[in-house]
Amino acid sequence: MSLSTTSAVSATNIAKTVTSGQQPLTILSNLNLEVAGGERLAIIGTSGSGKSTLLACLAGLDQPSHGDLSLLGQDLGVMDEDARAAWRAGRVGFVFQSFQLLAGASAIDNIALPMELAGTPRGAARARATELLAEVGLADRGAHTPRQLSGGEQQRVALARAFATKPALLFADEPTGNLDSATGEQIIARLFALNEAHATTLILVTHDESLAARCDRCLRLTGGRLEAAS
Amino acid sequence: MSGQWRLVARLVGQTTRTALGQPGATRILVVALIVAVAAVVAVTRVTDRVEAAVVAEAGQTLGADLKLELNGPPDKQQRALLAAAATASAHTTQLTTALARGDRLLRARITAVPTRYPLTGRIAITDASGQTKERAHGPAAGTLWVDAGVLARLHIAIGDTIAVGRSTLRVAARLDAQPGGGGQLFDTAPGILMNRADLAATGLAGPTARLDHGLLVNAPADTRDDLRARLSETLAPGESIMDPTEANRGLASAMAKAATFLNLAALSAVVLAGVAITLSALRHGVAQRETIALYKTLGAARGVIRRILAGQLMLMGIIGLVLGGLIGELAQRGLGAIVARLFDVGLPGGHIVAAWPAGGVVAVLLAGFAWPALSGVLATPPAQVLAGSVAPIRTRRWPAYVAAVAALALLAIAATGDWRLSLWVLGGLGVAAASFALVVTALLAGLARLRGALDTRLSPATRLGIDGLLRRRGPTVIQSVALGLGLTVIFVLVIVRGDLLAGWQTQVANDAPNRFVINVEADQRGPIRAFVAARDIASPVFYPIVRARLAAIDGAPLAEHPQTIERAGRLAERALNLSWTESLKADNTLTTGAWWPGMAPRADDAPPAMSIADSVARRLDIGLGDRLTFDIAGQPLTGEVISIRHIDWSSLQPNFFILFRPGTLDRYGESWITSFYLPAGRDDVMAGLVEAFPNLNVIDIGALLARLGTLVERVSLAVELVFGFTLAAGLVVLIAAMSIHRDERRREAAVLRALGATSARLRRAAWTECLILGALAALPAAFAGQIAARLIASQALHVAYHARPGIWLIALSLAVFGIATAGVAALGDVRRQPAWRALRASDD
Repeated sequence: MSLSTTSAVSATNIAKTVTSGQQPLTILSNLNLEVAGGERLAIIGTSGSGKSTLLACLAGLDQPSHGDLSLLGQDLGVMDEDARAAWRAGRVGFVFQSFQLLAGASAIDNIALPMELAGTPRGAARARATELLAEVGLADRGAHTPRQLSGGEQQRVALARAFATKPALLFADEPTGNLDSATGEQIIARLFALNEAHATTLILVTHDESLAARCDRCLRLTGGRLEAAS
Repeated sequence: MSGQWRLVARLVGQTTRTALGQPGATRILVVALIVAVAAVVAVTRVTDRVEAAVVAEAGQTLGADLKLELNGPPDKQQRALLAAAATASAHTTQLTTALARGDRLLRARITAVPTRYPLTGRIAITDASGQTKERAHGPAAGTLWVDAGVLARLHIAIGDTIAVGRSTLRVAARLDAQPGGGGQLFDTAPGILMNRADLAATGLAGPTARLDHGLLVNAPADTRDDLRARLSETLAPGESIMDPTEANRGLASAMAKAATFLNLAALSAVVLAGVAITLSALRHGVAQRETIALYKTLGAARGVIRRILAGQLMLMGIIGLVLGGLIGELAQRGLGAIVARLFDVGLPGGHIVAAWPAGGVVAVLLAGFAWPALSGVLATPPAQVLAGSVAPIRTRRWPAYVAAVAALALLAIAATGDWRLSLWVLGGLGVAAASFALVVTALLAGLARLRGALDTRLSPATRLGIDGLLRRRGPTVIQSVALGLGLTVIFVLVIVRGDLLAGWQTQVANDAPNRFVINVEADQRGPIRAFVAARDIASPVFYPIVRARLAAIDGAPLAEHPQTIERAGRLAERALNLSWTESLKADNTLTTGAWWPGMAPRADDAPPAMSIADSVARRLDIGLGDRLTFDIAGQPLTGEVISIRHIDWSSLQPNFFILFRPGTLDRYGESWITSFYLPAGRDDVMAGLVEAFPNLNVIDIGALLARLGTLVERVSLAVELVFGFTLAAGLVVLIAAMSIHRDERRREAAVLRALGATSARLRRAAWTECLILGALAALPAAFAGQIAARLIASQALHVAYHARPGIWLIALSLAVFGIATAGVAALGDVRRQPAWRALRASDD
């Protein structure tokens, strides 16, 4: 995989403190991170180490308490939640542990949703969704709702949705956490294949060290800081 | 529509369909909307039809441009005025008498009219051939037109003859409608029109007869006001002049009161629906949080999400309007039929547009109650989409609720036209909610102390149940208050109404007099006593009556007391019956002052002593020492109040507002009244009595009570129909309240099950928790229901209230058990299924 010389993610002195009861609780502490364009980065850590909080901050879903963060050259610190959402649309994709598909919408509509939110006309969005559904091997399940799909199939639809807007950045949060190992293996294979095909920067949060080992780089979150995983 | 709006519309449809597809908050929200809309549509449609009927009736009411109600025939001055300025006039005489045919007896209201009657409008009749005709004149001499009630109750047909006093007249047609015929809510006597030329021969218009004289006048529009003013100057106290609008005021006022009542019933349904909507909107919002976080993650701006949430509410509002509108429309047909029979008027069909306030109500409920509860989830952080919990969102919702309550208050005032009444209802509900919250908080504190004191003496299951409630104190208070409000309405509707009716029925003694005989001349008392004694009827007591009109209070003519006239109503406008007695009757209780023997010595020139009923004292705002001046056939009589009595009217004995000492009224012509109990099947006695003494008027109180019973039944039916919506809204509140934290309870039960709690222990814990919750809601509700009952009894109905403790105990037990059963049922599936599945389901 070729890596771009420009930084896809640049985090400097990121900290995140939340108040739990009367006590402030520091989750991230002066954390620094550079991720190159096209890179596949895995972040591992024990439960409660703050992996999800870090992912939320890096993806602009949450704001760090202090520190500078830029994604694809854009400083997120100067943007409010709405502006960050608008900026994410079309640039950032997500894969979640619990799939997060809309229950009442068909597979095609779920995949088309981020494109439509980014302003793509419905016809074009559905055409692209159909292509992606075929790419994940579910060409004949387009009209099915999540309830009619297995866990693995739902995650494949979620993968197709993540790549729908051809995002430059893809965040994956424990993408195999809710799947058995065989299905999880298939999903990871498809994730990496799509990542390869679309030249996307991938930041993957997992507690599965074997999965993390298949990425270009692996960092461990401990005590609110990142360090190279052995 | 732009692509963005189309997307929003599609997402609204999808998410609403999904939410409605599963049991829970969204369905409850829609049901609450349906109930509120149905209540409002039913009531607004009926009140609109009633208003249309009032307008339609106005033109028919008088039968002339002006109508005078006089104490006697028009005098010379009035006749001169009519000759100079009126284009037409007609003198009518109305009296109530008993008609006999065989052993059937009927009290009827006869109007003797000249051939040229009415002056405007037409009389609808059906002749012997069954043809319906409209006539601009009255019946010919020797004939009668009688209404359907007379035909049915005397078992006669058109063409038959009946005895009217000393005359025998032929029934020529059935009277279907005549000017002035409608709107007599409590007039129980059917009507008869006869030709004025026949009146003298009947012997019913003798000197002691109670006759009501009417003078119908037509006058050109340009001189009508002048003529009216001149005629007004000729009127004696108690006489009146009116135009069609004024004549219709009684009906309009009765119907306005009915409309106010119906509006209030609908309002209480709307307020309860608001409570249910708030509770279910909160849960609907919570269920939407993950989806909202996902939208944000995928790049949706807050404005888009706001539009989706608002769109969901609008879609639910449309569903509520359509389904609620259909149910309300069906209900208004039934309600309209009841109201039409109650007021004896035809209700026009009306127009569906009249139900527009339903749209306003939906807007207020959604914008004021649902949106503040739902909009909090707009702040859901997008990071919630990731695994891991997110702190609950805290938003300030009270400003929105204050605005909603204010909007509801305005809506209520607009609907009822009575701001005081509206604020009383809303304020009452607010005070009840606040009081419930305080009581439940105190009870929970007591429960916590008890739990600490008893501790291990309680079974593990009981401890589990109590701890479950105490852990969720805030939600438990909200839940109990919502349940309590719903239960209060149910208690008031179901039990209090029964209590009040039962109380009223027991007040009427079984052997109370059921026949009143009025118009008795002094020298007829002996023969009447002998007549009834010969037929084994207990010898009746006769009471004297002198008819008078109130002319002045403390020397000031009545006209100078406009507020008193308004408060006193008919008391100031109509003839009063004065009477005398030596001793105080058993059904009279002296509340102030002294009875004749005990009164203070009076100066020779002091006015005669007088005892008045407490209701008269209240309505005229007078007390001991005040003086009332009466006009008795043109002669003044002033009396001084020396005592005030309370009369127990439920004895059904003749009673009098104003009593003098014997001798005081000697120089005024009196007639006599008596009453007695006539056993069933002895109608022949009355028929014989009227035959022997044609001038007597017999009033069948039994029939009057039966008619009142029918009225009460119809009113109850209307009340039940309208309050059916309130009841439904109360039940929706119950369901909504039971659903709060249902997921959390299910999850807890699943965890406990996974940790080894047996099904039996979980069941006992759930019963403990839900029974206590039921008691927390039902006890304050029963207390509030009792207060409401006493207020309704003393302030609105003026009757004594006797609660039936047994019924209340049963109702309370049923309420507690019902709530507990519903609560336990909601947890039932968790207890039955394997714990891992329950836990996984609660994670989904």
